[in-house]
Amino acid sequence: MDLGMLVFIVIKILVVFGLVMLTVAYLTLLERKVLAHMQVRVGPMFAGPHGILQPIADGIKLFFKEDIVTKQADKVFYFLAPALSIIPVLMIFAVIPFGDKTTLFGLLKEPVELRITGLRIDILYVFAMSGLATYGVVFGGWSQNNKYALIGGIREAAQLISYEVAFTLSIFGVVMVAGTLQLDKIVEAQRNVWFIVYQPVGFLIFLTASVAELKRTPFDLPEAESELVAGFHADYSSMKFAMFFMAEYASIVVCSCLGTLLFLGGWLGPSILPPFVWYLIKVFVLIFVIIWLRATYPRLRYDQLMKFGWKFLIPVSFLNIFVTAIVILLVR
Amino acid sequence: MLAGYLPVLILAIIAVLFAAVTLFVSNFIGHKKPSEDKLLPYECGNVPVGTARERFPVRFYIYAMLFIVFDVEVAFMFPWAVLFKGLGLLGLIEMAVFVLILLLGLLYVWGKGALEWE
Amino acid sequence: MISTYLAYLFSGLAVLFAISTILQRNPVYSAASLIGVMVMLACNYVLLNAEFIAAIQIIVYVGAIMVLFVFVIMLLNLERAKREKLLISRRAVGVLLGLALSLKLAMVGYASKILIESGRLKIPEGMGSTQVIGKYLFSNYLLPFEVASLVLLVGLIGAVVLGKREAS
Repeated sequence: MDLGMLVFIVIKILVVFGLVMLTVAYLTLLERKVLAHMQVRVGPMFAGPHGILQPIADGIKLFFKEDIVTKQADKVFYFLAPALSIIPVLMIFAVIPFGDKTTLFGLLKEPVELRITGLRIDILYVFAMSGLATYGVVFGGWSQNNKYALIGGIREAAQLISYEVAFTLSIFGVVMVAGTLQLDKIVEAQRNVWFIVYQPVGFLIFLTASVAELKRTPFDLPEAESELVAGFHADYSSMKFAMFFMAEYASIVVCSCLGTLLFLGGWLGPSILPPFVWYLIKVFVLIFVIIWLRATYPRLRYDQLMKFGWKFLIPVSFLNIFVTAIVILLVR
Repeated sequence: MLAGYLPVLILAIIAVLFAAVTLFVSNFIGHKKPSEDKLLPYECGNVPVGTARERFPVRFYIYAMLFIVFDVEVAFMFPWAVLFKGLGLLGLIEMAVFVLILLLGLLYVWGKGALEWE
Repeated sequence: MISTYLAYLFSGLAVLFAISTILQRNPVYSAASLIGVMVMLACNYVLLNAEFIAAIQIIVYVGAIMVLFVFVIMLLNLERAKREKLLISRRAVGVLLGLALSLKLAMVGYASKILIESGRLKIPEGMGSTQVIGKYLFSNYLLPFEVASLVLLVGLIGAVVLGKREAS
């Protein structure tokens, strides 16, 4: 392990880090703009033309806000929770590929992979990290000693673990057809047909479960503004509050990337556009759909949410896996 | 092979540093004007009564237990899914028995009404 | 070389977290320390080339079992039930059991070291990868695998029986 290699790794990480943070910042603006136009409003307009500088203004504002730590709060976990919610999400980006191997238009002698690293167990790594995200919510809700926050935190944790099962089961069809857990090989396996064609049910389950994992409408009960005053982060302010939001928006990016890689052929597409551009287009289509859902659906009731998860989504996921297995055997 | 995990370790260090530095710097530079009322937990303007950390319905515990069972099951299914094409019909039967036993469990929980939210 | 240092680092942290688990007065802090132990063990598994086990360690222990621990602590409001002073006799029993378990683990470790060095126990090529584990799981160890689902079923039924008793 020489120094040049180490520097190269750090540069790759910082580039991905910067891109993710930029996307997350502008996702907030994108969401506000898309929702506004769907509701025949104009959204943020004052900071720069069409509010283009709004995320930067928001960021600076949040950074200089008073950081309130309520008296009854458990100080250690109050600080730990926002960090615990964002670190696992950022860790997932270690294995997310952003495009095919490239020489950056001939700039480099040997082609490099457009990802931080590749593991043999990419998908397991992703699920391991996404499972850790529960703790930011639970400890955040518990640490404040605020009734709304604790209810929100516990609700959220129960929701996350309920939909985690369906979320994981939804991608088994893809793993079975591709026969690997490596994300780049899964994309390569889609060279002829995207997996959404083989796995339409799997894709729908994946999309539904990821919206629930992202705690977004119609599954946004943990932070139901109208009943729980924003739920598990009720008392949080300043950058701690911002960090929960960064984690949430970064998770949207992760889920869209995963959906693209697993079901929509990743960076594959007609060669009129470079692979990276195809990838971005698909990711943003998924992000748009997730925002669109928020403008369309009302919130579920909590009993409906749990019922839907356990009595419908999980049995259907198993059915999907076994139908896929039988079809694979018959085709062979 | 281990080299693949070095970037993960470096990313972990960078992510932890990012979170720590951001939290501490913003805590440091944001000006503070604490007051008695501001430091109470926010409960829509009412003065909070007692502690928030009260007991919760046992239902949440059942969901957590269900989750553990299905999570372990999923863990067993990962190697099966990767190898499925090689295992063939026998593999399908092996996994079908495994999953059916647990689906029976889900049906039992369902039938007992533990999934209902009375 | 560097992995040896990392192994010492992760193991050291695991021991520190373990000590913190038993010394913390607040059960939520104990649970959080135990999560730390689990994560450090997963890091050590990666160093041992057992990446599948490492991922499963995080998914099952950290992502599921510790969530249940934290849930139970929070749901029962155990934090107010501060640790009472244990009787000396109970402490003695605890220490003895702990020592017995450590001895047992040391014996297992030493026995497998001898078995491997003498060549009587062979570790399959590429053990620790998903493919090899799957290959053995669905052929040589099929029965334990199927029995595992029965064990899980028992756990599930037990949870419902315990949980529903109160409601009825």
